Amino acid sequence: MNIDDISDEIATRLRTIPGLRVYQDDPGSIDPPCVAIALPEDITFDQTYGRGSDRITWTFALMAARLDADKARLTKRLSPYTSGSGELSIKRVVESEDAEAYTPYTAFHTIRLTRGEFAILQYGSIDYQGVIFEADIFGQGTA
Amino acid sequence: MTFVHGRSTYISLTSQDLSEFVTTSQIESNSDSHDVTTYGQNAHKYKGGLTNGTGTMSGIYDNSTSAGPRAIITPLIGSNVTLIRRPEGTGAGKAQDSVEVLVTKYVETNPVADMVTWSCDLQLSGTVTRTIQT
Repeated sequence: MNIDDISDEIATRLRTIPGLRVYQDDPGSIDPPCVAIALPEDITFDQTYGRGSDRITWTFALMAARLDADKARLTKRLSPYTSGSGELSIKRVVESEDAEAYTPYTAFHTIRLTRGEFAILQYGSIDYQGVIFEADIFGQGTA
Repeated sequence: MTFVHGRSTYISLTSQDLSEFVTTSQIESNSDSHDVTTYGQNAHKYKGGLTNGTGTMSGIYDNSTSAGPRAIITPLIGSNVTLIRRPEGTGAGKAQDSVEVLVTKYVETNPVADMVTWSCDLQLSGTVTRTIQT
């Protein structure tokens, strides 16, 4: 699997979420709500014989709003993105296999968001309400 | 002498390469043993008889309708086909096992939090031809 292609395809899928900005590089400043896609956590080679498949663990960070600016209850602010359904559901959008609604993935075979860790995330000395999502990605080993 | 890693193993049924879908495989070979103990012995004595064996393979499910494990193996259940297994991978000078097998079982397992997996049981029919690839 090519991690650059994977990053592009996940970013494309996330950009379909209304109002969500997606950063794949260091933008210098961010405008929440946004998701930052950095490097994968790890890649495990040789899941099957003959370089048949590899497995990647990838985390990406949702920054929903500035901690000092947002007066809404934290759960109300984050719930749309962490819910399993709904227009803003990151899990639903990233995992969808609806080929009419979303461009099918070609850089890997499957992706599953396995967990989300709620956290205060910092960028440029500013704290943001956020969630770190962990994705389990399985795909071709030789590509 | 060199130790060998399993990741390059090649395995096929009826000439269809299943390697990219397989995570583990084995061939077990054994023989009948016949007790030939007679008077005057202090311990049992045995002689070998007919050989026998089984094979197994398992791996990660693929949804291909022509080349995946489900597509290749399910039509073979109950049939005798040729199994080829190269424990060191493909290449001149490397070991190869070739044997006729009866495909006796195919299992698919669907866990909620992981990849779909499959497994297959084989009964060896006849002797294993062990050669060196050229």
